[in-house]
Amino acid sequence: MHGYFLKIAEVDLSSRRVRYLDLEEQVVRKFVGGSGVGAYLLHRYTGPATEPLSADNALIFMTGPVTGTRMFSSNRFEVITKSPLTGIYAEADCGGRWGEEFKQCGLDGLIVLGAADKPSYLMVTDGRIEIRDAAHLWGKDTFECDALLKQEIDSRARTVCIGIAGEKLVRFACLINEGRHGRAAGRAGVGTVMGSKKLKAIAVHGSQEVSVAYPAELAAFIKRKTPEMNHKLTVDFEFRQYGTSGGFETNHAMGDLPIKNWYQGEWPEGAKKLSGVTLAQTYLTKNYHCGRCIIGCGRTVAVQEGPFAMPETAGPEYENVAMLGSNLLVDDLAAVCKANELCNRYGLDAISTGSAIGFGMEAFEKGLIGQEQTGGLELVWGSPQALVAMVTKIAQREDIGRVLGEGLVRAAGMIGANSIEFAMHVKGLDFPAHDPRAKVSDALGYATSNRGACHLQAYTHDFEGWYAMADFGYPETTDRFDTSEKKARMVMEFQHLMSMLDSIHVCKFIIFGGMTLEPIVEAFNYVTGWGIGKQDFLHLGERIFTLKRLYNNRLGISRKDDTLPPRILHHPRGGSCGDFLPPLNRMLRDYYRLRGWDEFGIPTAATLNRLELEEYAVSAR
Amino acid sequence: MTARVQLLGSLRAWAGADWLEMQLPVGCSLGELLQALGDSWLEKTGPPLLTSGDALAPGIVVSVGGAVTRDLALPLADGQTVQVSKALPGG
Repeated sequence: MHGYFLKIAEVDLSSRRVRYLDLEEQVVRKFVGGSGVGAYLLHRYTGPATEPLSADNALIFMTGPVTGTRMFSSNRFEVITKSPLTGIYAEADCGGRWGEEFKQCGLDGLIVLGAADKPSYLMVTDGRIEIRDAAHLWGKDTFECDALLKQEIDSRARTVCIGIAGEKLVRFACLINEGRHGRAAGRAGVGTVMGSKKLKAIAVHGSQEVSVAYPAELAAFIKRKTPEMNHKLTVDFEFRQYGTSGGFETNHAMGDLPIKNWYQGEWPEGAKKLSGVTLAQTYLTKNYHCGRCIIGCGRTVAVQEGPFAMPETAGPEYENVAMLGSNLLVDDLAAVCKANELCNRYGLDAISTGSAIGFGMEAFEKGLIGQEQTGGLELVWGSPQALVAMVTKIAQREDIGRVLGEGLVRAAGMIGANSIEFAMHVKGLDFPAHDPRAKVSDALGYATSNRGACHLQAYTHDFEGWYAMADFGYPETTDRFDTSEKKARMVMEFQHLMSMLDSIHVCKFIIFGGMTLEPIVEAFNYVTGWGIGKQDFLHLGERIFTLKRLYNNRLGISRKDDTLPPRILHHPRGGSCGDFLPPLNRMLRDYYRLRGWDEFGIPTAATLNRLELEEYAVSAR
Repeated sequence: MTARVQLLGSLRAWAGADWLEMQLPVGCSLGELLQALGDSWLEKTGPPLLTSGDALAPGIVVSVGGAVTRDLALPLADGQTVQVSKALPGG
């Protein structure tokens, strides 16, 4: 079958058994690959009784049909599990170069079960998987681990590994691939699950080619689209020059930037100091390209001197600059680069780390914690020293870092008082760096995202105010404060498209290079030979999105959980957002109706029938 | 009349200035200001502000008096402050 090997490996670390399973054609026809097939497998391997940090949990790595082909920005993979941070469905998408190398081992996916009795790593090659001892790697940071494995195995091998945050079970530990280039499968604690299995790393080295249905047509398509991609991504959008934080000041102007744990509306001088333009003029040394990428939005930076000196390594992207910078009123870009480097080395999700530190700073300001909890640290807004020190404390589980490393909801439970009021999360997952008061689609997008607060499951905010996608039915950019039913429809439709991009597996940024819906479907058909149309493509996305929802419904997730923090619902941001607050209840009613979900947020029988998901039915009770 | 234009991010880098003072005809619209700005400063070296169809170019975000707007017919007052910046997808 073109685009697939139709083969998945299952590794049980408890029994040290390796099995190769057939991935049935009917499963990929229904759920495509990537996060779609991952969600299908998670349904099969786990359920309401599965404790995320027990050996019963499954850690699933999936590629998509375009992974390993010549398609733009297709060297990606997805990690799917039950989250130790949120207790619900988790997925984390990752670029870098591991995905293609893994698939070239002749596999579409890998399911890790059980738990090893001692630190281990997996070596995956063509037709062979070994469980190897990792005693010499345990305790190493992700950069060291990657370098040691390359030395030990082959310099061409690719690795994903956890750092000490994953080893110590910080609940928002991530996986890092590409070593010092720091590409992260970041969110929801996928690295924590890996740590609980005592699995330090997965090294891959393969040589098999992925079959493509129409290789000549795909090659011609890539050749035809490349000039347009190059122009749009370097002239229309200066991705290559300034990276994703190039629009930092614009986000500030639109009120989209997190400032002081989402309490403050404006901070213009700080935004200027932290922007991608400033980064390019100071610490940027070169770009980083994920495999098969012509964009090169990745930053490589070095800080030569001063208290935050650091060697050349991955630089911070927009989310990381915002969460480790403006969210904490830290305007020292060198400190932000250093904190980002430490997050990568320790294997910490930089979004949740910044969010946790912001929560800690607010608790400190309010007198809910003091220096006796922080180990003497002045955990005050704007302190670059506090930022860098706290990243280490969280990773090492020291002092208040032990509390914050449990994630916002548990930390608020430990700190008490009214601290849950300023814990900025949805379903336990920390807010990423876009404000629903500035772009109201994010209100619905965050509230209904299947992994908790996430800007990428709908990815609508860039289409509210400055970008459009005509072949997807959005010829003009939309009004960012429009709360009519049109906005609910937009969120729903974008969730379907993004579900597909996470399943066929391409980077979402290709949209801004002109790879919009029609060309994506065209390329998908060249790879798979399926010959489907736009509506079929989006219907698959709807099924995948709903499948993930049903996983959460089984765990008890419903309307009560589709909400936002009080600060977003009741505290106007000001600035260019004025007094606007998202009318979430009304928008949710529209959204549920459009989706064919009942008032509790559970898909109706008719909806399940339409999506051929009857076997996943969940009772509203 | 005079308008004060603040350039943010990459537009500041292109133009080499944070603020510009622009002399414009009385009753000038926002679209006319952007046209003049592009002609005089940015078109030579930087990204376009308007499309050939006289709409805002992709990624261009403009605010007038602190309010973000896409209304190019908006008339400007003497002494008006206009902020122009360029968005980039974040994530």
